[in-house]
Amino acid sequence: MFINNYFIFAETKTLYTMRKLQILKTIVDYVWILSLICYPLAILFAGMILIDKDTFDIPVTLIGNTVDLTQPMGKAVLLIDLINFGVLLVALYYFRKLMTDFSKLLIFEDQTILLLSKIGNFIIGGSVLYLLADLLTKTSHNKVGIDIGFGPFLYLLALGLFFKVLSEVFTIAKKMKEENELTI
Amino acid sequence: MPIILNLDVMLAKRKMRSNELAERIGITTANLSILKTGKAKAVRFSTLEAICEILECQPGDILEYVNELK
Repeated sequence: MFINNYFIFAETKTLYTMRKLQILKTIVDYVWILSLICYPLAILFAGMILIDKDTFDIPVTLIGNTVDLTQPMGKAVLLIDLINFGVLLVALYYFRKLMTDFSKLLIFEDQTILLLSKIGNFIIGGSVLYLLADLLTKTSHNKVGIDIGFGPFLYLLALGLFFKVLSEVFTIAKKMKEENELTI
Repeated sequence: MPIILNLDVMLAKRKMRSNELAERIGITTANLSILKTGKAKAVRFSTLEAICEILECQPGDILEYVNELK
């Protein structure tokens, strides 16, 4: 009786958790679809700027930094921001894969650990690219320095490291699960 | 693992089959196979107690330490 009740409780709890996961997956899917629409447009926009220097003779704000796109430095910043967008998009793609694995209850698997590590790597890469773009923008404004205050760089770096730590935690959890399964 | 479980030897001495032992202990034959092949990472005292009770032996009769470095 107790065992039956326990299983019903565990099953209900799993379903409840999965409902939260479904909400998260819906939000991630929404952001993913929006990004898929925006990214080709951004590439098109960047291509036009890089090919024809007189197309956009106006200052443009990229991730909080105003750059002059007629200058080579501004074009470099645009290119870096575009790559950054792509890198974060890849991280989002892996995150969607992770959500799919979780919904299939594939939690303590090698693939999950690898995905978490990859997401962490890409987000850290994105934060470094953001820092580089920030540095180039400042240089174009005849300033030298890096802003590591409350900005996207710090948040992205923290998020990337969080995923890396999560990957290590999942590695330990997988080992513990295996040991528990092999305890007779 | 340097710890070896000599379950086969004890089963042969008692003329008992693996299936019967698994059934009497209350574990699956798959788990008993894990024990016999040495894949197990740990053995619960309750399992050890049940094995000793059924096979009428001491833990030392089924557990053996082998130094792998030698």
